[in-house]
Amino acid sequence: MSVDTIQSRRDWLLSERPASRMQARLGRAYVAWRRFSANRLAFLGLLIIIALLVVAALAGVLAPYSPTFGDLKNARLLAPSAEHWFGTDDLGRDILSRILYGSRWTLYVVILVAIIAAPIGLLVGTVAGYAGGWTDAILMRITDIFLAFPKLILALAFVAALGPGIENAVLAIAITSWPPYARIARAETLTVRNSDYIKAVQLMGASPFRIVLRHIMPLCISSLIIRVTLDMAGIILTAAGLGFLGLGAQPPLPEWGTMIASGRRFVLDQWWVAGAPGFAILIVSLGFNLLGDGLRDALDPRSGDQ
Amino acid sequence: MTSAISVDGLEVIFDRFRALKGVRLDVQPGESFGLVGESGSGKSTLLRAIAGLAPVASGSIAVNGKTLGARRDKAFYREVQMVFQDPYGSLHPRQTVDRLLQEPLAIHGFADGEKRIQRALDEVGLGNGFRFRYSHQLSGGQRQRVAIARALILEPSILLLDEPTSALDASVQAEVLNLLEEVRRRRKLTFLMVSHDLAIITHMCERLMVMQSGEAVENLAANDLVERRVSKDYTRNLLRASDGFVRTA
Amino acid sequence: MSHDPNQQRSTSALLDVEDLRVTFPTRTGLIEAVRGVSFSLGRERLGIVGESGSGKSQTGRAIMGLTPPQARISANKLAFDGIDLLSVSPRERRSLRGKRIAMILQDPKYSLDPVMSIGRQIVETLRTHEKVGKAEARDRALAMLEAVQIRDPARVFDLHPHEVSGGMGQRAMIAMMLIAGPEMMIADEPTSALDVTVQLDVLGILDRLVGERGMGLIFISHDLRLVSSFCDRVIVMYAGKVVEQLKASELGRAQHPYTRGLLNCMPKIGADRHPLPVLDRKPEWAA
Repeated sequence: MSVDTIQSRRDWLLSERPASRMQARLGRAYVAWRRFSANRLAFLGLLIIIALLVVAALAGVLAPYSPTFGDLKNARLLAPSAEHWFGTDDLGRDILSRILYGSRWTLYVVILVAIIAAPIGLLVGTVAGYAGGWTDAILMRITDIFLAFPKLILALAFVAALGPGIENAVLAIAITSWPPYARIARAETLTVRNSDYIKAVQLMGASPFRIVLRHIMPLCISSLIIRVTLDMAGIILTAAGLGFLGLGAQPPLPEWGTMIASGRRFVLDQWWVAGAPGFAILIVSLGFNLLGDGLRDALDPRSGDQ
Repeated sequence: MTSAISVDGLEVIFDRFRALKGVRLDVQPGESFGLVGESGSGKSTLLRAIAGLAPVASGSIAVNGKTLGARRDKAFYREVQMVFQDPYGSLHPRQTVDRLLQEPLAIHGFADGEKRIQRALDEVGLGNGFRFRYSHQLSGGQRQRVAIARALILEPSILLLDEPTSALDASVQAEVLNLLEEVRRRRKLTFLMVSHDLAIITHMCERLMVMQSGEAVENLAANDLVERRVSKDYTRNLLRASDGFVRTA
Repeated sequence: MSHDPNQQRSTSALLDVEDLRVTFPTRTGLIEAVRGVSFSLGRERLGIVGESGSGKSQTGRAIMGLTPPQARISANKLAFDGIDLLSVSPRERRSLRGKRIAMILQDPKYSLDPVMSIGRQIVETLRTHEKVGKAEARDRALAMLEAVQIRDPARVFDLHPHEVSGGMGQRAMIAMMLIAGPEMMIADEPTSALDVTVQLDVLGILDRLVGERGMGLIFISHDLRLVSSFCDRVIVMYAGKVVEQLKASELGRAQHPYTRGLLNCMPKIGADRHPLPVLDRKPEWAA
């Protein structure tokens, strides 16, 4: 592509007079992208997350060995080597292969929690904030009850009631992580509900349902995305914690937390068994945190509208 | 003839504070009526009470002969629309002009949206070039034009104007006032306009009411102000203040 | 009073501004907010009038040294009483500010400290600039509050900014700014947030104090009529430049089409003009 066409494309995106809905939307996205990509650390975070997605998608191709069957006879607790980059565990399974497959479970947990918890929080928060009065009082007291317990303890209680397993762990984490989102959405709603532009929509004759859905929620979404991204690390760690305590994913599932749990017995002599999945959790958590920080700068409505 | 707006004994109370104390108001169809007063006089509250945006404690409001209940129905919003004071706060920050104008049409189920949006933008002097801009890409005057287009798109018969030009520069104010006069003449609208500026009210309105701390001080014709035929000291003070600063030697 | 009026009149200009430029770097390039403004101020009331974006406020801020750090300021001359404001150290600049040059902003709500009582703020201001005892400072603060026509100074002294009305807050602000006896004051839209009747009271107080103390005043406003009724001389700004300078009393004889347009486009009581004349902006005005 020549320099000229790139330049004209940029002008088209940054046009002060967009000619279509599409152009206006793309232009806005482009401005956010420019702000985001100017932040190197955030870009690194994005790369880490993209790498995670690629690894999860191609685990079957990339992994040199089976994640669940090991060579019990010859390959127990081997140190990292050219054959087994990250070594093997007590059942002779290749740790690298297990980590690659494990990324799928990490993504599974993170995405499901985000899909369940964020919309619940958004709905509860905006409805409470916009309706006010009794609705607000009841919804927010319920939120407070959830917030009163430490997240991991509450998740433990739920898993204990529902039974161990990765699906239940996801459910438990989702149930315990929506209240902060509800708080954020409510706070955001309170600041905009009395603004003239919401009053103007009321004067159009819009129903409360329509106002919340089409005018208030879009304003809350960016701060929510930021918060959810920043929480991803916490979600991964909680999932790992549940796995570690034997209440999350069950062996032989290659989930990172469960892997650390089974490696803890040899952590002094065969450090790589627990160390490698620990390092994976660290990297991915860092990636999400950097991404969240970058998104905050790029999307934050308070940092001006440009 | 039935009045366009008829208000009687209207009381508005915010958390024990009486913002309006038994106000009476009668606006004829096709008339332009002004409400004047300083901050805290209740002039904006009266406008918002008519629009259904302020808690009415007692009294009655009727629009085109129909007495309004606590909840406004959709038909009301097709008769009465409002333009707000602050053009920076009255347009949704994440919506394009196109989306802003589409919303009222979608709510009221108009089928010919495309045509109406074009016409509304033309009417307020904004060409198609503005249609897909976000509000932060517009100047104050352009925003107020969009707000006027949005108010007119449902073809109301009554327009409530809450200091529509006080946030604008003087030269832009003149353009917006001219635009308002033009649409009023073309569409035979009834205006109820709030302002702290006597000059704007005498320019735009035929009759006016002076308000102070939630009560009507006096009802005047615009001509009375021009010829200084006022009976209350409060109005006289306002008139003197609008002449500008006079150095007392 | 500390100044001898005769001596003041004889001295040369209090403030000399020559070719002042303020430039803001932005993502899309440089924005020149002020483009070569020159004027001088004696012990008089000078009005700077313009619409939003004309650079009038940035001119005032540049003189005060309150321009945001990313902006670049340049001038052939920016001198207050012979002191070159662009070359003095930030410390000297700070000590000039408040002591010899004061500024009043539009809304007292944002320029007064919300958690400190009005009286204490005035006392603090005085004590940063002069070595005075607590009791004396309090007496002078009370006297100052009385001078801005606050009826019950002792009561207002102990109130916090949110407990007073806008007009009272702006009077307190004026009291605070005048306590150290500045020689020059910059007032940026000091009455725009006030009701018209209160506006006149505040202007009256400002006018009397400035006159009595022989101060130089720069009155920045968008309201041409108000400025011309209040000031001795008026500078009209457009797009970062001065388009016209004239005596307030000769405003009716303004030459520049922008000044005339600005005067004409405002509705007046008794003038039946429909539609109002609008300003036809010419690109060459900004050139």
